[in-house]
Amino acid sequence: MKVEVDGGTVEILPLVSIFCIVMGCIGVILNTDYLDKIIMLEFLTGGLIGLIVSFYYLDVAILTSIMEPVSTVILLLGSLKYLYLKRSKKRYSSKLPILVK
Amino acid sequence: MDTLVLLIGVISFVVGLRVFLTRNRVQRLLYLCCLNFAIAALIALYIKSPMGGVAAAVYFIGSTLSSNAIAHTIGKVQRLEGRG
Amino acid sequence: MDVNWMDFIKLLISTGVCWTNFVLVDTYFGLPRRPGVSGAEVIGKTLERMGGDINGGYFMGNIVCSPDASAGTLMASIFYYLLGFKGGLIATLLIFIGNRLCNDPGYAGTLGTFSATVLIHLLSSFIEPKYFIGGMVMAIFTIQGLYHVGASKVLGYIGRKLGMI
Repeated sequence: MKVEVDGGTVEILPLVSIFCIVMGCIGVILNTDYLDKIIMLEFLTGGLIGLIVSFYYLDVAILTSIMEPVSTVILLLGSLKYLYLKRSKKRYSSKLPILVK
Repeated sequence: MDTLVLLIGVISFVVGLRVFLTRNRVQRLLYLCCLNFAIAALIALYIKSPMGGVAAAVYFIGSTLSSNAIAHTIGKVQRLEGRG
Repeated sequence: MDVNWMDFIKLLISTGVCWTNFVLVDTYFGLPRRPGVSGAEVIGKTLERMGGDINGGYFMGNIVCSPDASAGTLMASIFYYLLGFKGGLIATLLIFIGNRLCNDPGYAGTLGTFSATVLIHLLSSFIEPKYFIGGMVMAIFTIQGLYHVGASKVLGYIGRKLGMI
């Protein structure tokens, strides 16, 4: 998979993967909402798996691919729990006299 | 000169830029799906052995699973914010 | 660099074959009619609010959220490129497992993979299997990557024309 450009050879898969990783890092820093941050983290992970594959570590790539949805699901469950907690605390804080003191 | 790999690389660069620049969250998820297709095809074309095919299949199914989880959470958050 | 025009002709033919295969199989199994998983409903309603068609939006959401015939076509071309005709059957098994893993009770992915394998095997005398991988990426780029509102309108028109909505 080498593309010859005027003398040297350039491979496409590491190039795309490094582009994805750099853009994902900048996007995780710049976005402020947490769901946007998780989508950008997904974008970064795709590039990371591509970079691992381009150095022929196939077992590490397969294990990373299996473990990556698990971590995403745990992050999303945590964010939903945070949202529920914020809403329920706002609703009940004026009614409970124990928390006012 | 391999035209096919160069074409898939150009497509993934364009889609990656559009993931970075779009403001809408649902459209960002659709572009990410196209990027997953392109990366799985590049993995299979880079490693010409059956193990590369297994790696591409596992990567694709895992990324589809996490996209499913993100879309489900977006729907739940929209329903929660629309109601109250 | 010299550009061979035969490559582009083969690539265009394989793009047309892949596009026709997965759109017809997915429409026949009723993907535009209802959202199979709950994430697809969000995508359909958002695209309808932006000015598109809701049935085409359901179709695109089902492609994102579950491995359907589009993923099946890509996997069939990859495994046919690496392993021959037996690889297509292995890809059918993998797509079946992935379908059940994403909580989707349907047989669109399995039948789409099998029909793609048969099509690639019939056409493999004058188009090599590696052109089908690029053709599938081109086909998914025309639906998910270029212009979402227009793509949803085209998919809704095809579904309504076949009488599957």
